[in-house]
Amino acid sequence: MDPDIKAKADDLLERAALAAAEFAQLGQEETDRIVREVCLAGLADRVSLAKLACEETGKGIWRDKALKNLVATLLVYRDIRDEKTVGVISEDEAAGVIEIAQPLGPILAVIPVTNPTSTVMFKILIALKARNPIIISPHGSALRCCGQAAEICYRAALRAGAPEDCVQWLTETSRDLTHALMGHEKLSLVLATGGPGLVRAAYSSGTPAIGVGSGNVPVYLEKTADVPFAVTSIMISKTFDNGTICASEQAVVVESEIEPETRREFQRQGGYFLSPPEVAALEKIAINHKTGLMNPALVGQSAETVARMADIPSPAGTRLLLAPQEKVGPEFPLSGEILAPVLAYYVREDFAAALKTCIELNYRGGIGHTASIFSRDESRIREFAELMNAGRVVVNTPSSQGAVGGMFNTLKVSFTLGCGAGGKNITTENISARSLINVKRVCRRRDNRKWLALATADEVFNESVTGEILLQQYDREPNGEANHG
Amino acid sequence: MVECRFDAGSLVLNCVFSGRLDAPAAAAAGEIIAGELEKIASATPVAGLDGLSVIFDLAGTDYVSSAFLRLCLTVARRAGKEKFSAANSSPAVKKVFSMAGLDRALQVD
Repeated sequence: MDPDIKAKADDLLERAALAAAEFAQLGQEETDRIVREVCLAGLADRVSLAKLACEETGKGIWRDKALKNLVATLLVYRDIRDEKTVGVISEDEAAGVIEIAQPLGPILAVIPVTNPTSTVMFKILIALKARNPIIISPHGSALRCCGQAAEICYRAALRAGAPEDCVQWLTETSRDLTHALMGHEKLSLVLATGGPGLVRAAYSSGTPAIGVGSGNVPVYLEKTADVPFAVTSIMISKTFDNGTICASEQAVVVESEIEPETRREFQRQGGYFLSPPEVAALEKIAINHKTGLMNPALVGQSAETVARMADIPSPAGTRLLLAPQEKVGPEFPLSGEILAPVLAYYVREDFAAALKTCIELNYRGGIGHTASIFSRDESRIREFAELMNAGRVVVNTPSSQGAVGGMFNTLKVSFTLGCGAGGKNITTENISARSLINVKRVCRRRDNRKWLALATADEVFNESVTGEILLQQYDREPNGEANHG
Repeated sequence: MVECRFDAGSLVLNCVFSGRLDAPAAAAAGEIIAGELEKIASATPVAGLDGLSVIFDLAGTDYVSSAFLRLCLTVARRAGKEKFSAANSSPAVKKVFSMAGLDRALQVD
């Protein structure tokens, strides 16, 4: 390893380790005061940070980014405010178990270009709530805005009595430094939000990691859906910040019975249906045909900009491009994830056919992430939910806002959405402060009925499975005869 | 805060701390100790700080900041690692040194 890189990594983690040691002495009240001040500081600067993020990354819409910053500060704060993260967090006298929260130690937070300042503030809040110092490693195209967001939070934390160096941030982009930090012995956790390569690197580092998976969210319009409501919800979600949220819808699957109404409603709300030659033109620029992944230049651009990039003469006021597709797979490039206001569009005869298409979409790069359904038929909703491999199935809800939580449901508010084993993650949870503590269990002696029940016949098995009989088997020879010593 | 007592006979500087050693308290203590070390070094121009042992007595404190931990490292570097020790720490403060990874770098009791 380059000695300069190693020295930088050592210095950052040395500082973080000292901050962690000091942090562990703070009580719940002191910790909560710090979190509150950081929330207020981030909230106060949400607009300037949003504008800076847009200017620097060239992606998204600043008004939406300001709203994301609000969610990442105020909503996250309200979500975690009353949570116990210090000392005894639960006590069960009957079971004889006391649970005590312990901080993890220094956390490395990898930040994506799509939601830079909001993810920085979110991760800082949940890390500090759990008394962990945090090092922010921004995407190379978002160094300035992430640095500014981190500094605002850090200054507020210090004013509220947080340890020095409880928040640090990288001011230059370096893959080698990020890798050196990920594998450093003093690092306790990598909180990795980003592309699959980066998440894989985090998991391979040898340090515990919480990562995310990529999404490819199908949204199913079942024939009982309230179509205008469903389309409005999808428009709200998919055009929000020009589609940069990984939980945003990627493909609409609509039953043929309600297709004409759905098409009309999309058109009425600014959706533009591409002709076959226009689909072909979009395919050429939307996907890197070598990797099969989306073209980063498209990410976070408006529908009109994307249309211009593909030489598609979309009408003025177009908010969303809809690309009718026959099938799902690499030969249909638009059936994959595109973080821009572009939706693949499938029409299917009935529930079974629609469900199969949703499964194909789900398994085309979006396993474990999010799936969405609009329906008024509870049995259909349940069947859909059973079959999707997803951490979240959002029902009659804009998918982006629904998956992030806190607005249209009671999910934990999070900018890091676990995608379970399917997404190569350890959890399907919406990651929050509770994910960033270790729980120590103090167990007092209690009689456990399951153990005592061994002495008697087991009600589930039969009388041959009792402790006495099982113990007698130790006294038998391998041939089954009794051993009398 | 800190009270420093230098025993010229045994060449031991005993720094007795009390109260909460947060960042401002650690900074103030750092200045006092630096002044003491200067005085000792200038009083023995030939030997300087050679042979000097520094003891941080932590019996009177139950909170140490990262700034204080840094002060320990600075003084240990200046006096020599084997000539520095932190003594009479409470179990909670001892754990802080362990968490920071300093229990191996410094003598902490």
